Amino acid sequence: MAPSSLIFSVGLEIHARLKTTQKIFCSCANHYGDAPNTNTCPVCLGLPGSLPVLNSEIILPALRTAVALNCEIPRLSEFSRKNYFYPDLPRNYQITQYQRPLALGGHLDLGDLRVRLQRIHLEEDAGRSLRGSDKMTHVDLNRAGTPLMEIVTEPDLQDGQQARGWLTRLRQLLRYLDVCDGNMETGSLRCDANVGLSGPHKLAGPWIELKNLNSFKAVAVAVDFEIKRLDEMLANGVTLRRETRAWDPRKKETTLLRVKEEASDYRYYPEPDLPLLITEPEDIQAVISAMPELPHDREKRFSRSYGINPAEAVTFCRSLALGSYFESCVQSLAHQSGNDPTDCGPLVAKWVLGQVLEAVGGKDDLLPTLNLQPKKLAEILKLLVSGKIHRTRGRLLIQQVLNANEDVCIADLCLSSKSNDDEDERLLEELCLRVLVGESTKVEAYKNGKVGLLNYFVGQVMMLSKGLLEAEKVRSALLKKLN
Amino acid sequence: MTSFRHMSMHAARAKQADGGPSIASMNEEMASAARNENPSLGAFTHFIEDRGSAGAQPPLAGFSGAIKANIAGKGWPTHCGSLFLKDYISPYDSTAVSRLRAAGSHFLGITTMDEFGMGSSCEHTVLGQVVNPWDKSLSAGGSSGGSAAAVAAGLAWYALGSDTGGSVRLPAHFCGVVGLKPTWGRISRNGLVAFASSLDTIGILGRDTLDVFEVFSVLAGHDLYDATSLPDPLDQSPLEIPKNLQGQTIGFPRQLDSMKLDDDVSQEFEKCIQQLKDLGARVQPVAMGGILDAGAPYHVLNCAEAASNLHRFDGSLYGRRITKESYLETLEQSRTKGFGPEVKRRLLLGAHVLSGGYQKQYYLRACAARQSLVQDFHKLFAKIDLLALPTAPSTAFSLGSRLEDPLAMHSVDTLTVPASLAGLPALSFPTGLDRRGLPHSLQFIGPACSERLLLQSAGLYEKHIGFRDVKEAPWHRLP
Repeated sequence: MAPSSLIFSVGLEIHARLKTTQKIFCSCANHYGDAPNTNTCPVCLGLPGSLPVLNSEIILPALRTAVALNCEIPRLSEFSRKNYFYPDLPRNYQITQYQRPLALGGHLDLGDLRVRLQRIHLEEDAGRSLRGSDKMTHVDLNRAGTPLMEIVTEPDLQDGQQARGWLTRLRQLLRYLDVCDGNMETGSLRCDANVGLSGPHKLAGPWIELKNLNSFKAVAVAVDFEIKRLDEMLANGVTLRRETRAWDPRKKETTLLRVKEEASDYRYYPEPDLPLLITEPEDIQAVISAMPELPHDREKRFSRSYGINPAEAVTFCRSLALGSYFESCVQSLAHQSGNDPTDCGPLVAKWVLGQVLEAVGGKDDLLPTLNLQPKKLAEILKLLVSGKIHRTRGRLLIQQVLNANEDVCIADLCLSSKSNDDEDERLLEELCLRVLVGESTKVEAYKNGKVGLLNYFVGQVMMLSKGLLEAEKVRSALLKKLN
Repeated sequence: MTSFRHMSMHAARAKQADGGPSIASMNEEMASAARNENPSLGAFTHFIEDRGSAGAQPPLAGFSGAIKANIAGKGWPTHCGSLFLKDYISPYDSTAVSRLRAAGSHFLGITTMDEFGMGSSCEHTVLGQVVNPWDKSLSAGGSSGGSAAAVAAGLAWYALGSDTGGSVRLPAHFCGVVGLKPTWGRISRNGLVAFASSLDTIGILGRDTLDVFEVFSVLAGHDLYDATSLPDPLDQSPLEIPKNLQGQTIGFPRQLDSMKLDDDVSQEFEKCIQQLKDLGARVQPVAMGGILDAGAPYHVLNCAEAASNLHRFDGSLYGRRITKESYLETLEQSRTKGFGPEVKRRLLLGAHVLSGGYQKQYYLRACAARQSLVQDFHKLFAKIDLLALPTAPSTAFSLGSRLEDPLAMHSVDTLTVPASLAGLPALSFPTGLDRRGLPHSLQFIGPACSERLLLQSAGLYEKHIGFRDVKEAPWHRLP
């Protein structure tokens, strides 16, 4: 298959559920996982006579997001009705924002790639339809009326990997802003992708809308699959048409859901039950003043202040929990040891990326409840820095703290391990003798000038000690014995 | 036995204070009269006998009201005059009903209405059939016909209706009682089943202006459950009827024939103008601009909004469901069989005027016409305090006479829709009788939140002509 000269473009449409306590137009709980149809009221059920009232709780998070994404926020925005029939839509119209959304434009960069946004708007979510084992459709309206922010990008992405990378960046930002928990598993974040053509070979229009993308990985794989499928079709001279396709994760292919020409007419018109949403300059200013540190800035600051390289900074800033853990530990170590944070950073980095992350199985959100908290780790690292313990002892101490059921005092642990030092000495003696006695031929060779064999002996002892001994100590002990 | 059923609430209260029968006993007699007479009148579809909250505290002190079937009450059959909701019981109180409860009101029954409020003669009914208490061959007006008939026939002390294009004022006019459409947003719409949201209001029907004012004072004011309810504070002081209308400038349409009035309506209107002058007002003809051409934009807008508001009726959660194999078939059958022909006609029209390709031509143009009308009123009220015009071009017409002719039917709305489109308060009150002995009414329209002014001025007129004493009135011919 000859490489395509066509340039594909990918745009994303993200629905992020805002982390509010109540739904967008009523005071029902905005909570996932409750028994079906227990968080409902006349408003979100669309009972005759009920009226929507905007929950002011949604305004700040929505504005914070729009500001952080560099959007333009018009003074007035308006709610609209999107009319269509579906079992999980109680009023058979969705209250959304059509012609005058909350925010326009904006961008979020992925490295050097600037991905522009079209708009951000507010809307209510529909309920959930589930196919029962009785072949009936069961509807749970707990989700109906929960607040969504719809974020639409321009088609500035080019392939599945980029899409995935950008989504990761967006989710990170939403979590930093504390507006959305970004969990696709619980439906707080949903994503559809649009794949089409752009560039000098741009053909007027047809877009493929991809749905049922249930993970970031699915987004990447589905987009790449679709690009390849379209590329082949075009190479075979097939005319494209606008379609909505669903990703099948088992068969790993996209299937046709509907042809876009048959798209519904939603008969959008302004929602008469809700007044215009007014955003004054003071509101935006207040959001700017209270803006938390954003990922990009935190990465730069970590790199600058803690002596780590940009790539490590990106890793530590991947979540608030990991960044906080790292930062607390560096600051604590700097305080305890009197050293500069830029000197403490790299050491802390090594240990956090190693044993600490291992202990939580790579799950950053488990860090705050880990047995080994930053200050304690700093205590252990301080002993290392001051030469009071060696690396292996450090690993052991950390393991002991992790295994302990209650808070342990490092000093006590060290005392109790004084006897371990004697044991280490005995072990060192024993293993060195064992190796040298067992390798008498090589010992002879060493004594005859093959000094490189020392490394071999060290290696043998290290292997037998299962990492309990310090390499330097082994080397000097062997040297003493050999000479 | 002296009947009190023609009395207003304030007169009955005075009578009770004077040693007369208790309100509770008056209610009992009214309730049993309602049960006896309703079969031949059809004002009520259900008797609910809801005692409200315990005790008879002011201001409504145990008086029982009649509530139109599209205003939700907890445990009540809020059927909206539709087969679709025939068995629907509302699980919550509308704000209006809860405020009436808190004010001591009792509730006697649910009144007959045109299906979902779509109608001007109460002939587009599938649940119940109401006739005019003055002459049972005539329409009681719509869509709040049952409410108006109940008040006129002395079967309830006051009634609530809904007015979207005239549905309280018109039946008030046909039945010879007072009907108020408040400023849009003045009375909470929470619990009023939506027909055309930007036009819908809860309206009040009563035997005189003072009673209507009392109920208005209980209902009006900001509500957290209605985002469009006006935050303006309410003047709670009692209504004071002035000695005369001096200092007031009242306008009336300069070109009388532009209103296409029946001859006797025209004559009555000219008498009213003179009467207002005699009462001391400065009365002047005014240019109406586009105000009297509101029919077409009103029709486009009410159908468009109704189409969307009635989308929710699919039988899935509540209401009558006709179950078929698929969701779509169930939806189609339930709606086709559940809605009457007038409703279906408006839903189809509404979908059409909002659809892609037609929205610009119909819906958006109607919106622009509406904005223009608002400006016309604004200019008028810079020069006058109130606008006076008849409530309708004709008095009550015979049942069946306009059913086959939608345009003739809609023509009865031409003088009520302007205030609806502009969201302004409007009051209809009876002024005299026509050749057939049927009520004539006058309509006052005022600027936003001028309900007090409308009621005061009408109150004086009312006192002056003594319409309540008219012997042909049904409340003087009680069985």
